[in-house]
Amino acid sequence: MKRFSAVIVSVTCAALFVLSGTQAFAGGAGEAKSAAGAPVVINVAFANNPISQALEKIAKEKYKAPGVTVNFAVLPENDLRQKLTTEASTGGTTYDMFYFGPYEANNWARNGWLENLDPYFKALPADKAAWYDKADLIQGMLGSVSLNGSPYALPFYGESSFIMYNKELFAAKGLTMPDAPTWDQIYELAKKINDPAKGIVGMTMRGAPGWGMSGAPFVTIVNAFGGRFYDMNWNATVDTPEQRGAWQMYKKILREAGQKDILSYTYNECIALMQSGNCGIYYDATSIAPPLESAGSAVKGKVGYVLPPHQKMTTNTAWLWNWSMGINPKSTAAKKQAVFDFMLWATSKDYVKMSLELDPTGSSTPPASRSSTYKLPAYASAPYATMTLKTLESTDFTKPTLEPVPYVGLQYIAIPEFADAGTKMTQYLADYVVDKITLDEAIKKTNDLFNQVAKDGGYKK
Amino acid sequence: MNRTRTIQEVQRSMRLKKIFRVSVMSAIIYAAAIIYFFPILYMFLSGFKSEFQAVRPSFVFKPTLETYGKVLSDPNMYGYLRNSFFQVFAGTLISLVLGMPAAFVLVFGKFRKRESNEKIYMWFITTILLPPVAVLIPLYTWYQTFNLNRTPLGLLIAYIGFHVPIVVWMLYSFVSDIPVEIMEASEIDGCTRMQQLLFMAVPLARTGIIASGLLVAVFIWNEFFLGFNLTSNVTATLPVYMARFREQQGMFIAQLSASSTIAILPAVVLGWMTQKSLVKGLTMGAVKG
Amino acid sequence: MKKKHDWVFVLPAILVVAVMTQVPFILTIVYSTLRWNLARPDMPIKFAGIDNYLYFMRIENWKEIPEFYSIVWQTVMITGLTLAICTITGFLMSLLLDTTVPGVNFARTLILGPFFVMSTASGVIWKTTILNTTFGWYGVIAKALGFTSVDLLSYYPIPVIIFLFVWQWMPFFVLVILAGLQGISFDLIDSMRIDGVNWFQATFLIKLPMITNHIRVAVMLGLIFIVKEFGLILVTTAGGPGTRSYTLPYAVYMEVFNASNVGRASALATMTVAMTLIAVNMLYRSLKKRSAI
Repeated sequence: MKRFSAVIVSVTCAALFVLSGTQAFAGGAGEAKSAAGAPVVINVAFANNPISQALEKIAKEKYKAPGVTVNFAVLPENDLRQKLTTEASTGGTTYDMFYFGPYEANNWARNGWLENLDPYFKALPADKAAWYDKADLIQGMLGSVSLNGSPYALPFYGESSFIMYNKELFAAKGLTMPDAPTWDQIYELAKKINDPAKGIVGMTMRGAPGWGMSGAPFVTIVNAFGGRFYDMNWNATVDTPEQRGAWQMYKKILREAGQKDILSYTYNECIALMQSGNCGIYYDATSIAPPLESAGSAVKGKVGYVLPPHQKMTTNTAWLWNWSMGINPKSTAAKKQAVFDFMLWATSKDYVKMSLELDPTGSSTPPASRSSTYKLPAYASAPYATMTLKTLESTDFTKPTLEPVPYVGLQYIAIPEFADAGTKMTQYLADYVVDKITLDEAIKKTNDLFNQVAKDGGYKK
Repeated sequence: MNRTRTIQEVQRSMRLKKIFRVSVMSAIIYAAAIIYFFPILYMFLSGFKSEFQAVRPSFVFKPTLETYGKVLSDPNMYGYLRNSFFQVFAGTLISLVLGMPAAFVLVFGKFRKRESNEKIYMWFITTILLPPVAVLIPLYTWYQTFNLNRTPLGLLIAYIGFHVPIVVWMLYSFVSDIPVEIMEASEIDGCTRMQQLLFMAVPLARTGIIASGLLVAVFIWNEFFLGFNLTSNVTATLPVYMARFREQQGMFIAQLSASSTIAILPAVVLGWMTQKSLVKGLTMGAVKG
Repeated sequence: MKKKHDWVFVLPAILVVAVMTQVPFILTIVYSTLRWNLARPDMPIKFAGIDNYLYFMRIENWKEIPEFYSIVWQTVMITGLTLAICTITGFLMSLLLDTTVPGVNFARTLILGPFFVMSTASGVIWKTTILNTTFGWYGVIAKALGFTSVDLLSYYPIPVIIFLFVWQWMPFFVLVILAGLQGISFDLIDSMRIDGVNWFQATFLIKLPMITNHIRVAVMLGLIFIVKEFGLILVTTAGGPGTRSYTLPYAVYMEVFNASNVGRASALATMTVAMTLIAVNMLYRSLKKRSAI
């Protein structure tokens, strides 16, 4: 009996092994041999924000290109950035399409880590070029991922930031939101709405560390308070009253009127909280508004939108970002073409239509990529559309701060070291928010860090 | 006036006391076990809830298979399962095939220098200490050059390299148990080393081989760091897939639980079925030192 | 004749291990002497001697100890406390399970379970279904008992990580120690009973010294694997808040993938290995001294 069961077990194991072995090899190695005529397999990765996830859903169903298989991966944003940056900088070929924003686009294009798209556009047949209508892409967005006039990526969607608030909760407490609030006003309003006994959070913001996570709202607060990170001689200017004001405001809001699990909140958690109707104010990207107006949201139709808060600096206190797609220059020619075709499809007017079919409220539609999107009746009537456009028009990422600075970028600093330094800064910020270190310690650490970066990076002469 | 108790009464009270003690012990042991195991138990149960039911923690619910349906109809899931199975089978098998001869020869072999056996053995042991993070960059760049960077083969080679020392370490003490006289006698009889290995050492050390194989299988199944950095979405293993759940809160608890159950089930079941062999394998090393 | 070919049996193993572990490690040591930032190809790779090491270790003024030392201390604390708590609770649990009560095997099997659960799965499960202050058991029980639930992962990251490590590794200790306890001969137990030795003396003065070898095996294996652990920290606290729950392997990972600084990451990795080697050596010697044999 024992012998028999031993035989059965070993036979099963052998079978499983052979099965898994052949398939695993087929899966992994199959991509290496893509001779002409054999199916081309491309690997694409997206971040896990709502609109990108919608792209994955629609693409899985609707994207059909003869002879091409597309493998999708949706990764947490921090993971995605780290993986793609390492991949790009070491010339890897795990992913054939990169997904990134203007921060990476700038560096990568200059370093030759992105494929120049001009030749691909020139090779487009006339009818396809007309169908795509490149001129319809919002030029500011396209410009932010171009170098010397040549596009190195295609913006999939863009965003700025603004304030979203729950009109019902405001009305219940008899409060009104000013059209152009200051951070002080926002703080007061948040505190008044905050009602832990009823489970109502006054204001939610991203708390999870990461330069692209909590860093985004935080740096715009710094800008709004009139602070900056470097003076024109690349000396770090973190230890200034303006910056301190920003640090304190961020902490005040979250500790006195914010979500309980402050540091584990990425935008996904913030959206969920706002959607549930238990939160008064939400400061985040304009692209986050659509999910709030979607069918599953408890606050559909009840959200108001106003300009991003200012303080000492009165305009241009939002952020500017887009998620764009670029081609990995190290992939094979066939794959690169396949990726380009996919990118065209994903950023086309057809896709915009498909996304509206999927969700007529516009919550899956990529905003701020094409001007024609805003002329579509379904989209133009969305409650957030006007404010989104208004905010976008008010941004100028070349002049982020009150006083002149040697860098560009609204919610980030466009130097490669910022990925690390910005993340470390948000880590110190997190420490400070939960009272593990004092404000002085956090400011000092950040200041020293930025000085070190300026020195190591050869910026400071 | 107290009458003395009869023998039967004494025996009965002793029995009762024993039953009482046994019951109390059982209760404590079971309580401890269930509390300890609770997170896994709850995860298992939650896989049978719908997302809506799973949001609030509860034990009372109407079980449904819809979440498992969703999880199992995702073709990616099969990919992760397949990748994990492949790595475990191939990795364990090849590690054993490489490690057993090595352990055998380190115990019984004769090298040019007397101390070589001990030295090589210690060298294997020290490589166990190496955190994979220390070799990642060179490995990553090599793999790039040889096009191994998203392939199952690449990950497999890394797994073998990191787990052979564990096999050698465990098998060394099992093989040491084999009496030297048997080996010497077989030599006199004209056995080659290979014959000694295949027909004497392997059968005699088979509990050790099984125990090491099991341990390595569980380690490879659960391995995260190399899997995280050396795979793409197509070749990812289950631990890598599970890590993606860390940024999705509140909305997908049922799905998380179902996927988790599928991910951990093979390793846990394997571990349970083989706990006795594992203990033998590990404690043999203990007694030897 | 045949003896000369013995090395053939061990060569393939040595080759694979050397190529996969030792050779890359030597390269890592070499890289640690370079100034190499992947994200700045405009700054060429240059020999930098021990600059990378100094970046971490140099203490400019005694009021601000560089972060490196906190990370080392955190690693030591997490590993050391985990091992200590595992030993104590493992021993106590083994004592509890060292009976012939019916069904004790089933209980032992349940307790063993967490050891085989992959650390990323257990981390995600704990974080989402238990430690969450709104949707998790902790939150719900806290509310029922009337005290406010605290975001444990943010405010007490290291205790939570130690707790999770212990949860995962105590079963292993139980497995090994229990085997040791059950290996103690019945004759000895009987003679202890006859001699009227009380439970306390029997356990701590007689049984405990007899199983030090087992404890040593468990601690050594535990040390080797807990120091390397990465997945659990990534999915629960991501090293946060700040760098409060960073361990050395996690710091190396961030230095490579976030900062793209290969030189510094390699220096950190080399120091990690060196410190682990020293720690294991010290532990091995000190435990050897205390064994009863």
